[in-house]
Amino acid sequence: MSGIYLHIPFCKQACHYCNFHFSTNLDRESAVIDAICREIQMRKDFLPTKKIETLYLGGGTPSVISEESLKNLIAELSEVYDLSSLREFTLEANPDDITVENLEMWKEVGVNRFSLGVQSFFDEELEYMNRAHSSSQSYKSIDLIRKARFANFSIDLIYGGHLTSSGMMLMNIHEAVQLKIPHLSIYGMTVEEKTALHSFIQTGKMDPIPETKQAEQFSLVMEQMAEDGYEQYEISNYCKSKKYALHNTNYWKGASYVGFGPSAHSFNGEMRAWNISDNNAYVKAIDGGASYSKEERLSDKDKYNEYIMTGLRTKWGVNRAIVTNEFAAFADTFEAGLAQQLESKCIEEKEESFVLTQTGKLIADNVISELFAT
Amino acid sequence: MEFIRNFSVIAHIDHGKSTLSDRLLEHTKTISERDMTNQALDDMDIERERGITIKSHAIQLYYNAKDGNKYTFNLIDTPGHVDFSYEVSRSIAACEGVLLLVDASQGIQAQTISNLYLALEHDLEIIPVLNKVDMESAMIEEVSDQIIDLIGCELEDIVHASGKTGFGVENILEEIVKKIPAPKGDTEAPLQALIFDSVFNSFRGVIAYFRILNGVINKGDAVRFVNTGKEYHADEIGVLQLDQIPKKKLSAGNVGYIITGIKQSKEIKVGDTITRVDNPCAEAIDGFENVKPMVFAGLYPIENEDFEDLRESLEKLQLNDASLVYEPESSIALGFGFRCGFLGMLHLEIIQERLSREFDQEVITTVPNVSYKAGTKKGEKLEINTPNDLPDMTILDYVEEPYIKAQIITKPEYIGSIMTLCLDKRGTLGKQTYLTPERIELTFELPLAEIVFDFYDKLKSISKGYASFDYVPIDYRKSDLVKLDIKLNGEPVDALSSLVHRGKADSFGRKICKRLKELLPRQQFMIAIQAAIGAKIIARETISALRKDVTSKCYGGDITRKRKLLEKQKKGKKKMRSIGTVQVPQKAFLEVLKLNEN
Ligand SMILES: Nc1nc2c(ncn2[C@@H]2O[C@H](COP(=O)(O)OP(=O)(O)OP(=O)(O)O)[C@@H](O)[C@H]2O)c(=O)[nH]1
Ligand SMILES: C[S@@+](CC[C@H](N)C(=O)[O-])C[C@H]1O[C@@H](n2cnc3c(N)ncnc32)[C@H](O)[C@@H]1O
Ligand code: SF4
Ligand SMILES: [Mg+2]
Repeated sequence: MSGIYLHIPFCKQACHYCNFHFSTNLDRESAVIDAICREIQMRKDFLPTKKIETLYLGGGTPSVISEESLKNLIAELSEVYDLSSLREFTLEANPDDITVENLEMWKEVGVNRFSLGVQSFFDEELEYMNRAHSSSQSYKSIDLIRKARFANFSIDLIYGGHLTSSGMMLMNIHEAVQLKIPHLSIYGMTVEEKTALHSFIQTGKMDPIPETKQAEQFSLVMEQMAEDGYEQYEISNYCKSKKYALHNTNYWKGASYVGFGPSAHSFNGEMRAWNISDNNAYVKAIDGGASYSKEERLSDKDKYNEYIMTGLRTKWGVNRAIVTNEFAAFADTFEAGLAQQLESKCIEEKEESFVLTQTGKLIADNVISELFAT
Repeated sequence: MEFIRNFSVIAHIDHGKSTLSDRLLEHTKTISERDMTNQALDDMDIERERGITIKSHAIQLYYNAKDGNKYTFNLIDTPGHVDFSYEVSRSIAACEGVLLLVDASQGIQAQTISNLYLALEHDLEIIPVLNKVDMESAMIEEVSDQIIDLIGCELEDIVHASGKTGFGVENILEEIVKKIPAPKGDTEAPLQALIFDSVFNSFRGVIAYFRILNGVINKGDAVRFVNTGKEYHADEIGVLQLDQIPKKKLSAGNVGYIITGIKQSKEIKVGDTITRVDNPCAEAIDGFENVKPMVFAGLYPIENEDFEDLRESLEKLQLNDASLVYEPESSIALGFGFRCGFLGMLHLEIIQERLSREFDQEVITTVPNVSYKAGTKKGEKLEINTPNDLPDMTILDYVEEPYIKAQIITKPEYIGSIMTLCLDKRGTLGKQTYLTPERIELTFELPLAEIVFDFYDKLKSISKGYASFDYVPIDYRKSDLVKLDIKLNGEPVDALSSLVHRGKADSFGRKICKRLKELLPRQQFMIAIQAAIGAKIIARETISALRKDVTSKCYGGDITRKRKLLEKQKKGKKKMRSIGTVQVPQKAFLEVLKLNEN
């Protein structure tokens, strides 16, 4: 299983919480897209295979780029890769970009799944987040996606923001459930450095978000989603009828992927690489044949730690046999940490695997780092 | 010998010793412009980062004087901080004179006075230098008057200088030639050289710095260290410039270094006399008084198995720093470690930092304390260097605690708040002397335990920096002390125990619990912190369990960064010590005494 990620580094406006790499200068679209096309050629031998199962267009906001740009990218990919057995082709989209015409065009290029950035169904929250759309646009876009017969799609929601009461958060979930959304990513509002939100808090314009509030809402999200019949297959991801996001799930299962575009990440089993997070520098480097990415070869310890980290965050957990067979050098570390976490009921054994309990999920970072090797 | 001048640069902290030394090195072309860095003699990383001198640094320069002769100067830059005043006294023993610097914007401060007295005790020639005259806030006349009053010199004797601009450097060099006497000594007499410092080099072993009083030393000589009685071969001798410059022969009056292949730190004693085996001197030079540690604390490896490594590191550090003393001890909470004596809290901090930097040894420092004397009902006399040594109340007859005489120089407007502070610290006021209408010297007698931990910080803050402070131990006095224990989730942590005055135990207990609450990271479970005297609990705080610690944001393919974040989290845990089930950060034991008033 191999995947391709394309990073589209443009957004119409900057959301107050977001530190993903994007630029609001849309004039650079064609230059960046051209560069990405060149990168696709330059990195063509990165993956051990040419056969691709998942394709993910993320951002930024991939739904803002033109039909021409999108087609150029896909054409370039088809030249290098075998996309004939593509199982999932996701496009991250913002509700304000969803139109009948766009949907038709996306269908034509092969998109078969959307990840829609709804964030909240409350307008005051959307405003607080500085989103470019209203809640009615969100409802409408979901309706349009359905009408265009895309069966597989996901929406993003954020809980634990300054305005989010537990009631509002439950209402958001309730709306999604009513709308029968097959897949949801529900994230806790994270105050990232170099964001407007961060500076509001630093300057005292807003209070820090209390940890207890986030903990409480996260617990409620997990409980309510279970109640509504969704499976929490990853810390922040829930779905019905096993409609797992294949591309992301492959990240967590250690499959290889190649990423193109500024700030995109790649992994081929041995090495992780990440591109510079700057549109102009990226274009310049690609044009000038200069280095545009950094890379790191994974040590055995790195591989073990990644296995623990990604594994424990999913419902598939970590497996003792895999640790003993593949990471023998760290088996003692694993057992020592595991015993402690079983004792404190943060981890439990489920069908041959060790997974986080509800308590464990709330403090997953702490639990995971306890099992890490140093 | 008549063309040698040996001198130290002494002053209150930050009055510009190292900076002015730079200018002297520059002017005499000892360091080329290309190699020049600020405070070039402060060559340890810690010194450069903190901008203070910790160790004395000796260096040789050549000066072509106006009298047409070429002179050899041995300059020793010294530290100004109180904790390191023994460095000053050792440096002085190798000299005939000193440059006494006074910051023109600060005036005479506490260590100006104490360092001056050290020099006078050795009958050294004093060259007063009014430094930092370039500053706008320089008070040339006022400070000149202070200097004249203090050392009884004439106005003309004071050299004006600026380490920043280089102003006055030529004058200083000339004054050194004219005023500081050439060393006396007899080249024909048997070798007699005083070891005033030593450093450890992992390739070359122990390098001793000496000052030859009489006789000559040659490369290859068989030498004897008089006090230890050990004999060695002088593998290499030489002088100290920016690098060590090997020489074939050094004679009386000179300052130099010797390498004998000694690898064991224990074999060498600063203050010892070097002589020659074939023609030994009749007696040893008076060495140095052993420096008395002011503060004691336990140092423990984070992992028990690193105990022997820690011993080795301490041994090596002691070579560079004779004032560090240590002996093995054990703690129920921390296992095997060392009870170490330090000159003060800065010294302690620096040792801890050097262990980490130079030896990659992370250590836990227990709550520091001073040294007490106790007597039992049976008439035994004990020295108490750790709270755990305090005999049980049932057999304890008395405890005595060390007192010091503190000298504080400040402006009259701060007298009130300084008095309040000192009285709160169980002090009694001695003399008050107006040095000038604008400067007053206050003396207090205070328990040492009250001033070693956070006194200086407080003094600085209540006086807005306009108070300087120096102290000397005076005696031991009877005191009503109790042992305050700290429990984490019910388990007593001996490393956090302290001895406190009964009258202060309650408030101290409350503060220490509050402070621990700030210092201990939250964990997967709740933590109860209690302070107790015997069976009586006097304070309690609770740390609630960790509620949420999870990256619940999308991180896509960026697995590297996420992994590294968690690895950092894990590393942080490694710097902690588990006590029962509670993880205590390395720094908590030390930080716990930095109690905020609010
Ligand atoms: N304006 C001015 N600043 C100076 C002068 N000399 C030193 N300084 C500054 O004063 C501070 C202390 O200088 P140092 O030379 O490190 O002082 P020191 O006496 O060696 O300090 P310790 O060794 O820690 O006692 C530094 O920030 C210097 O830049 C001077 O002549 N003029
Ligand atoms: C890579 S972003 C881009 C998606 C798309 N541009 C959009 O805004 O809908 C994917 C999702 O991450 C979530 N996200 C981004 N920053 C976040 C933050 N600081 N805290 C919590 N969630 C965040 C949002 O839910 C967002 O939809
Ligand atoms: S959340 Fe989406 S739309 Fe908003 S700034 Fe981030 S990438 Fe752009
Ligand atoms: Mg200095």
